[in-house]
Amino acid sequence: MKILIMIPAYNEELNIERVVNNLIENYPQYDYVVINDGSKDDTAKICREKGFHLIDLPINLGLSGAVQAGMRYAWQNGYDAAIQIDGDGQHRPEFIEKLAEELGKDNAQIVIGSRFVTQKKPHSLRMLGSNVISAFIKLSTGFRLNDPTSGMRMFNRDIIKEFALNINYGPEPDTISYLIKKGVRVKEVQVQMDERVAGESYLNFTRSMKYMILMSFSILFIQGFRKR
Amino acid sequence: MSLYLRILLIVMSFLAAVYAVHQIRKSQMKIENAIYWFMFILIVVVLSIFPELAMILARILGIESPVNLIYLAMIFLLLVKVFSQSIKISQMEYKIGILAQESAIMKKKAEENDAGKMNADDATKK
Repeated sequence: MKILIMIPAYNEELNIERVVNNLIENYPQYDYVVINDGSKDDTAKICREKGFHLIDLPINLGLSGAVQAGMRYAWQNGYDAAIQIDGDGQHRPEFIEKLAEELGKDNAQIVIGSRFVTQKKPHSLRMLGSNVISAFIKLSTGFRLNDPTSGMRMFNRDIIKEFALNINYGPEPDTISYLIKKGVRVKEVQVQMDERVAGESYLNFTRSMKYMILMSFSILFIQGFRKR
Repeated sequence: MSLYLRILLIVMSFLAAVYAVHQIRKSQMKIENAIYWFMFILIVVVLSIFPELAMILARILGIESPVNLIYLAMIFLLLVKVFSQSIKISQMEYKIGILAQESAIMKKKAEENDAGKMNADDATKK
């Protein structure tokens, strides 16, 4: 199975080298590509100097645009599966194998690296948000998704094509909810995630609130009307 | 607020919502952009169904007729939208400029490469 690791990176000059070097040294069986989303810092420069595989977007498209670039690349280059790994090193590549094993089993087309399959959710504001989204997805689809906001998702070739060629396919819980509703099999696999080592998270309080409103509204009221 | 106006507002809101959903189904609209309009519609519908709300708000703001409050709210929301659209358009103009520049630079590089190859070919022929 040809697997592509997509690494969207926005202002990750402090992390990108460590993340990619880890992949090159310890996981050479996978292909990877860094998608620089118009970073203002030296992310692209570092990738060029080190000779990393790089898609360098000339403007900032936002996460969904960056991931779509990765999906297009995966689609055009005949990959069987693509997995999104954050540029800050939160997602451990050791779990990619586990996710890949589950892809295709019981027709699973999307496999999500989840923090809360066998482990309990801690109580925090962020996890409250996660619970709310989980509840809305359950309400909308009847499917229990324990870690809807996990960015570590693996997609098979059919789903790659859909993401690559269509509008409204952001790598977010509302798209997953919509796909579940349309009969796509989604599976969760227990993984461990690390805390961000360096640099700043994109999600501050206002952005988190906006995100919650957008996701809730989208899952509850809009996704049900979409056709595939 | 007259009953007819309320019914008119609700019917128009319903049609607008159907049209917005239709645009999403046709893949013509991003969901994040549609959400504003759904919120807008929701506010209009709530105020039409519960005119008491509009009355209370109008009294607080010192507006004589609740209908005027609805007009005011609509104008305000639309102004906010127009302003944020202005910002968005500016950003898009800037981004298109960057894209055009990048693609022109890339073309130039490709042409230089071709020219370089041709020169090299000529050199080997001689």
